[in-house]
This record gives sequence, C-alpha cells and structure tokens, in this order.
Amino acid sequence: MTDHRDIRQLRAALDEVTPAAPHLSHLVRAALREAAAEPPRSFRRRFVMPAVGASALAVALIVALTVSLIIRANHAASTVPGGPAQPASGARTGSPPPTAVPGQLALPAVNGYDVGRQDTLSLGRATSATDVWIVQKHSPGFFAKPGETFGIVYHSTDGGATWTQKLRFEGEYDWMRFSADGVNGAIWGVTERVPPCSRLPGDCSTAPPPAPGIVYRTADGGEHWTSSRTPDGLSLYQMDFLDADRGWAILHPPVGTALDVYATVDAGRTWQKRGALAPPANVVIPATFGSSRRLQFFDAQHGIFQPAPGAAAALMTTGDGGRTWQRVDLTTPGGLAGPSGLARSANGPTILSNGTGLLAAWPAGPQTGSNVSVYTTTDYGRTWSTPRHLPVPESALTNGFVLGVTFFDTNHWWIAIEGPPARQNGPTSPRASFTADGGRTWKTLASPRILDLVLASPDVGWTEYQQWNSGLTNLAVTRDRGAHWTAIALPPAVDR
Amino acid sequence: MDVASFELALEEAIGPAHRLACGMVHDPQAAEDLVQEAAVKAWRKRHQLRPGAPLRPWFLGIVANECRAHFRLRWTSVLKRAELAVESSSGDLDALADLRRELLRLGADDRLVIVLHVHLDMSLEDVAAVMGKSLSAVRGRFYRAIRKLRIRLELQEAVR
Repeated sequence: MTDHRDIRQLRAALDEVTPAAPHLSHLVRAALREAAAEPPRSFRRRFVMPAVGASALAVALIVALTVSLIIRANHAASTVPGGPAQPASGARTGSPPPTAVPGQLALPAVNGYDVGRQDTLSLGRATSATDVWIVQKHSPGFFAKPGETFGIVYHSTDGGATWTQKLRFEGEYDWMRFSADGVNGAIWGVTERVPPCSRLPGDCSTAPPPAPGIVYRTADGGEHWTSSRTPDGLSLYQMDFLDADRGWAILHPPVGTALDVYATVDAGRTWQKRGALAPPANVVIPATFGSSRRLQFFDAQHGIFQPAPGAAAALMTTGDGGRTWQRVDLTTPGGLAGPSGLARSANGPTILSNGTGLLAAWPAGPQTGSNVSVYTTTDYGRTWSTPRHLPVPESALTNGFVLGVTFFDTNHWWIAIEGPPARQNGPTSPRASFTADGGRTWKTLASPRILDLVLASPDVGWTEYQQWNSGLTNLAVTRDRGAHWTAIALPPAVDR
Repeated sequence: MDVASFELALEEAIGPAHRLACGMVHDPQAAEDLVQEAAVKAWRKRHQLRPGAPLRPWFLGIVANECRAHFRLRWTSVLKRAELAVESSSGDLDALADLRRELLRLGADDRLVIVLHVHLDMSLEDVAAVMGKSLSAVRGRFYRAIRKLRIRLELQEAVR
C-alpha cells in the first residue's frame, strides 16, 4: 500500500530534524532530581511558593549583578579564561558579544559554522600553535544532488589570522595525512552520501548508485593536486592512508553486506584486493560510510578496524597488511560496561610507536565520567591489558559524561568532559582534564565544550568547540595546556 | 520506586523519546525541553504505571501528549509554521523540506503514527500500545496519513 520510496523519503526528512543529543540524559536526570526534591504540592502552595516569590526578586538582582561583573572581567582580558580574542581577518561581523555563563568558560562568539545549515568544521592537521589545516564541510545529508556535498580545505600558518584555500573537495571529506615536512600529502573521503540501503526493509530492490572513495594527492604542500578513485561499482566504507601513497580501503557493493579490503601504493591510481573483512555477527557495523576513523593502519602490516562502539567490545586487527583479520575482545570488568554498553574514544585506539598503544573506554549512558579506564597494548592491538581506572578528580567527573579522550604520547593525555547543568535547561559545565604522567595525576580546568581536539604538542591543542545554546561550531587554540584558550575566526561559510 | 531506580528505568526510553519529539515538532531545542517536561510528568504520575507494565510505551505516550500540547501553544505553532512558509516561498524547495512542511500540517495523531512507525521503527502493534488505540485503527490511520501526504505533495508539484 505504501511506496518504499515514500518511507525512505520520510525517514530522511525526519532524520534531518533529529540531531544527536548525548547530553539529554543529564538534563532529564537533573529535572527528575529537582522534581523528586520538591515538597508535596499542598505544602508547597501554602508555605514554599510565597517564600519563593519574595526571594525571587533578591536572587534576580544578585544574578544580574554577578553577570555584569563577569562580563566586565571578560572584557578586561585578552584571552580566556573570560577574555575575548581579537577577531582575525575574514571574520564575520555582527556577532553578538560574549555572554558569561556561570560555570562556563566564556569564549567570545567570533564566528562559527551553522550545523543547522549542514555546514560543519573538521580539524585536520596541526603541527604548532600557528600551523593548522581545517576543512569546511557542506552536506545536506542523504539524497543530496550532485555537487551539493563538498568541502573546502584551508591552511593557516599564522595561527588562524589568515586562511588560504588549498582545495575544493568534491564529496564528503574524511581525513588527511601529510609527511612530517608537510610537502607530500593525501586527503580522502567519499564521492557522495548514499542512503543506508540495509536499514530500509524491502527497499534494496532498487540499488542505490555506488559511492566510490576519492583521494587527492599533493607533492608541493597543497599548491597542486591530482585525484583518483576507488574501483568502479563499489562503495567506500572506510579508508586510511599510512602516508601520501600507501592506503587501504574497505569497499562494499551498493547492496549487500560483504566488506572487501583493497590496497594502493600509488595514492589511489590503482587498487588491489587484499582480503575480506568478516565482522563478528554481534558487533555493530553501521550500514554506510561514516567519518569516524574506524580503520587505521600503523605500518605496512599492522592495522585495526573498530566496529561501532557499543555493547560488544570487540576490535579487529591485521598483521599482514589487510589479508587476514582477527577478532579481539576487550575485557569489561564490573562497572565498566554501562546500561548502554561500552563507549570508546571515537577516533579509536592510538598506536604510538613499536606497537605500543592506548585505548580509552567508559560506560555509555549517564554518569559515565566517574569510570574512565585505559587499555594498553604493546603488539599493535592484538592483545590488550586489563583496563586501568583513571584517577581523574571526582569533582570533574561525578555526574559528568566524557566527550572524548586524546593521547599525545604515553604520558600526555586529555579528557574532555561535560558536567551536568546546575539547573533544568541551564548550561552544562565543560571541563578538560590533563595529565602529564600517564594518568597518575590530573589537572582539571574549565574549557570550551570540546567536540574534537588535535594536539600539536603536549602544550598546544586545537579544538573544535560548541558554544552553549548555539548550533555553531567554532575553533580555538590553547598554547598552555588549557590554562587559556583563544577563539579563532574561521573562514566565512560558503553561502548556498 | 525511588528516583534513582526511575532514572535507570527511563534511561533506555530517552533516546526514542527524543526522536519522537524531534519528529513531532521539528525543533531539536523544543524537543529536548519536551522530553524533560515529559520525564517530570512521568515521575509525578509514576503510580499510574501498572506494576510489571513496560515503561517505554507509557513514557512515549506522555511525550506524545507533551508534543500535542506544544502545538496548542498558539504562538509557537503560528510562528513555526509561518517561518516554514517563508522558507518555502523563498525558493529553497527541495523535496525533503516540502515533505517536512506537509508533515507538520498533518493532524497531531496522523503525524504521531508516522513518526512512531517510520522514525522510531516501531511495529504498528507497538504504536497502538503507545497511542492507546486498536491495531486496526492505527493501521488505518497510518495509511490514510501517508495518502494525505502523497496527495498534498502531488498537488504541490502540479501547481509548481
């Protein structure tokens, strides 16, 4: 009776108005606690409400006075905490002035990309406090018309004061890899987003068009580029490059669940099939391409594929360049697996050198922050230690949830946390915790709401952050391990 | 039931509740507020949940009521629809935007049955449990709602 096309379109239309809301559990809990703490209604009406009415005016006056003092303090400083950075050239004008929110680090509203308009920011490579690559991504999501999904790659060598456009990326950008001197590099992604066929019951009778991967290669620091694609007829699932030439792609037919591993040694001009990936039946494999760094290679032989984080804590590793894959189960001792399973760092394990690596995990669901643990490996992820609980200060983590964990080396780690709101519908309190001794001691500071963090050194970090009560994503940098943050003006978003 | 047990029981329903609210009001910020309001109401009405009865359909029913009430707030309703109309007449007429606008123009119960069945992937039996109606009534409403949508979109296409 109903056409599958109708259902597919309805799903797409509804998905577009349903963003992820990982903080909602906290808001609900806060609201429930507040409701549970309320006295019975009759008592409330008789005794509490009159008192509340009388005291409300006094509280409002105190709050107004506090906010005005904080705003004054913010304007007095040059960088946060509290102070506005100087807008760089190319900044949009007319942004509202920064508003200090109690419990929040008040970064100024320089400019940002509007997620509601499907403009997003992706941090690329950062080698110092002045040298950074970013990608401005534009995607209307599934069912985009040809040419509607694209990215613009920018490079700055002066800390974001000026931006140079290096590449217009046709398709959805995934990631980039450059040589240490920044001369040779590869940037890759998928040519277009296709609807996840397997999610649509009975809808695979008409196969979606294949969406191959696309690779851009430069040999002069981004002045000139050549492009190539993965084999015809197959869609890209995941891709990773070891350097500008050597890469791997997991490809699949437009309809079906087979995942084959291909490799290239010439930046994607030619591809050879290496093997097949057969994920365990009980692990979650998203139906379509996603930019979440689930495939990583650390040298020509060793790689890891991370299925979607979830209840089944499993990884797959290869030690022969992708020909064969082995399942690795992570132990989840009591308390680590939460009601919604096990969450892991979205970027997967960090393999540092000689096969030594780290992987952070925490229970998914509420109050995740108080139980962050770290697994370690010394053999490229084939075996992992029993997870070690991190003694991050309870004041930072209690009732908070983890936004992400970034390892710079075996000693320097960051955890981005979102604390619960102090009141219903109030602002959350983002924090960043930093350790310089492999997790033994921690320092916790107020931070922007960190969505992604790229460390150029133990001290210098670039972050994509979100302002409270705003759909905008912004860029900031710290040069002193989070003690101060400077908001950076982004290149203006492309008007479509 | 103490508040901690209630929170735990509610936890798995929050994601679906958020999807439901987003699908009903097409405003993520409002949807978050509605889910919180619904959670508080659920807490206050917890004694109405029969012992052993599943919490999820009961809670989704409360969320659905909150969403209906949201559209009864005249200002919100008028403002949102006006904004959408301006958007559509400015030339930004892609098919998904048309579809969303027509969804919002459906009656609350028509929209609810579509959102629960299509967006939350619930079976029509489960939809019936949330809406407190019979399976045949829900099935009929779903197909009528889809037909209404299709006719309106075809009409729109014809006059373009």
